[in-house]
Amino acid sequence: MIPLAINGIGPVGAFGAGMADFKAALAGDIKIKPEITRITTRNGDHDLPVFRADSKPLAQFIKPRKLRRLDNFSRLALFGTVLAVADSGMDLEGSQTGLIVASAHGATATTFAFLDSVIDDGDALASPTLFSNSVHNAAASHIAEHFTITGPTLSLTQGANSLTMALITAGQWLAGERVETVLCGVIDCYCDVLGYCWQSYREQSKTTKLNPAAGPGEGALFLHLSRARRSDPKPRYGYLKKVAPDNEESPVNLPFTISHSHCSKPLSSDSETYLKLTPAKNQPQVDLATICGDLPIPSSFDLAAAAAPLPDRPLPEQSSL
Amino acid sequence: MKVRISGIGALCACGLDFTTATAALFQDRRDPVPARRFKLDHPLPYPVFELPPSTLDAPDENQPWLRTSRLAVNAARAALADSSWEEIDTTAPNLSQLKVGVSIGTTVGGSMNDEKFYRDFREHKTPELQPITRYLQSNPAAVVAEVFNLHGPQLTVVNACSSGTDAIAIGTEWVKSGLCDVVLAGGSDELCRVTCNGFISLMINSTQPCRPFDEDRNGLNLGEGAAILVLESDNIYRQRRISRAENEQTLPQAFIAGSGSACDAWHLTAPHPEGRGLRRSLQLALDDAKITADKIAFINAHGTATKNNDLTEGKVLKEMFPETPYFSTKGHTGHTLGAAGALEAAFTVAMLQTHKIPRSSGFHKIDPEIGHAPTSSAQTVNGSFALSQSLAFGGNNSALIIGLEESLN
Repeated sequence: MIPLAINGIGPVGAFGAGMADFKAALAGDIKIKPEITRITTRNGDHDLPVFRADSKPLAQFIKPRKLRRLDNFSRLALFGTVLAVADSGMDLEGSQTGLIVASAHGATATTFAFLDSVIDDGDALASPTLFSNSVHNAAASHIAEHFTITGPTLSLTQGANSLTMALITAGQWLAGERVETVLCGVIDCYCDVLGYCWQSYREQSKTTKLNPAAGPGEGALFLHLSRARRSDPKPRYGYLKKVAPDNEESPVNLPFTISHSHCSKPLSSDSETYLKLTPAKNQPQVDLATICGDLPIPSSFDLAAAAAPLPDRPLPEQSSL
Repeated sequence: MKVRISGIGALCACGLDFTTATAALFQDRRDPVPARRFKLDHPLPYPVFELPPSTLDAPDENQPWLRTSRLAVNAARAALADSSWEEIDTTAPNLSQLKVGVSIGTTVGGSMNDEKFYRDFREHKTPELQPITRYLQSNPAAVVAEVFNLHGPQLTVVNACSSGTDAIAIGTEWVKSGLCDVVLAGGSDELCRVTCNGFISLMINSTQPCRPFDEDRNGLNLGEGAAILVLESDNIYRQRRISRAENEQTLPQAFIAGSGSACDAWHLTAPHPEGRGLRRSLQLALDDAKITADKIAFINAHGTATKNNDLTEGKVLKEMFPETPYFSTKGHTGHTLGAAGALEAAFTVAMLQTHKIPRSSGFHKIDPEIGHAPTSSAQTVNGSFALSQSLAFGGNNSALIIGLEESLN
């Protein structure tokens, strides 16, 4: 794989939006307030902390009229790309750009809202707007339209490996010179069905100790990537030098470890493979579950955290979660 | 590097195996009917192209995977057999020793939409998680990799109706770049009540058998199926030629000559009226194959039979390929969504190898707005390249050029 320059990062999550908010959250300067949602499972009622992301600030960048037909999934994805492009300081216009949108579960809230229209109003009155936005690549379509991206667009779903496969594809497009720039990232949203599943799987787990402060999360993380060239100035966040599917395991030593300790398998995944690959035991550890909640693609915000270390600040202490 | 197509497995409404399905395209018989496996409640019936009854009809409740993944496994098994990978020669490599990837397009196969589960959830019945677990275990690429014990990259493409074409193009790049030695690439999709209601809500389904490119076309028929192509590097292919000698004598060898993909960046549900993205994807595919448009022997078009798709597609074909015969096979298969591009690429290979193309089923009268007619009868064609293209919801446009090599030197 050729090295990929990371020119910009657009994170949106429970911590806020943009790298400044994300870094502040990593440093412990932002107090994350999960939304408490009542979920009823077979074991009774639970007040589940849900790490929601807010797409309303997107209106600072895009006129509300243009956003009115977009669901929360597409808005958060669009928000992530807008932030990544702004963070890069580059203009997509005139650049051959590709777009890759990865998601573990797609626009589930909209899919179930579409089913609501079928159940409440009957098959013949199902909502075309909800159906259109429930299709996996609707977010990519909205993003492409916003930026006038006429290069290749790819929507993919590969569970916890979704970001890995997105980055491999971005690398292939750039290496093959199909495009000059790739907007590449992940998006997953919460809905109450997922909350029910998250809590129910946790209750079924024999090995995981239930922690009342843990909960599902949602968010988007997009990268502005280009081919690394010697003649170019050093990219803002350095380079992605290797991306490998998780069955290609070769241990590496890292200055710090990022983990996700509070997943709800099989709906989401922990950092088991990742931690196997980072054999050093005493390095500082960041637990992103305290910042983003439990996400179905755990590697997404890891990458942002790894690309944006805080040289002048200590890493936050291991979470009490 | 040449990326060989060493095997094909496919199933759809006109055949549970690739040979039967391809032969059916040359017959006039087609009979879409209301779905057998689920009921829709609409004032008018909407016919679909459902797979013939088979063991694949077993209810999901008794299966570890969703039907979409079971169709993909079925097609992958047939493709591996067709490519002779099951005949392990001790002197040749076998799959377990190679980097083998899986790239599969789908729409339904990537959707969490179990209607019964959701109805129970709405009614506060705290439903069993089994349907969710089944969905989580059913990622089509992961299932195929698990069943055949493959250890390379796995990718499920969800680019709506161009997913199958895109999955093959991506698999081709994996082989070209050395990421994989072999890739199982294609698409798979089942008929699903949720998706049927969604398409009907968009008012693009026909209540009659569909008529792609016909002046009186009035919408699509949904279908289901799967197609998997075995793509392999020239190097691997040549190493195991010895075990494929018999097959090579019967049919010339096909390869992926080029691909192109471009987005309209125009509208969520409508193609760009001038086919901006389609033109670009076609030109990119021609450039990738290093050929000019006149080298294309025939075109397996997307041809859904919706007003918008066929108008845009027909106009672009008339301008870019005025002399090249084209047709849609959806009059026999229905629109199989994520499987469509893969099925059509598979049919394109078979037609290129046998030099025969079918009439465009359902077409009778030229649309003056298009001004360019698809095939009205089966034809013999000559040439070494053919095009298979897909236009998708969301503005995706993707094209594959299949090449033919008369002899392997």
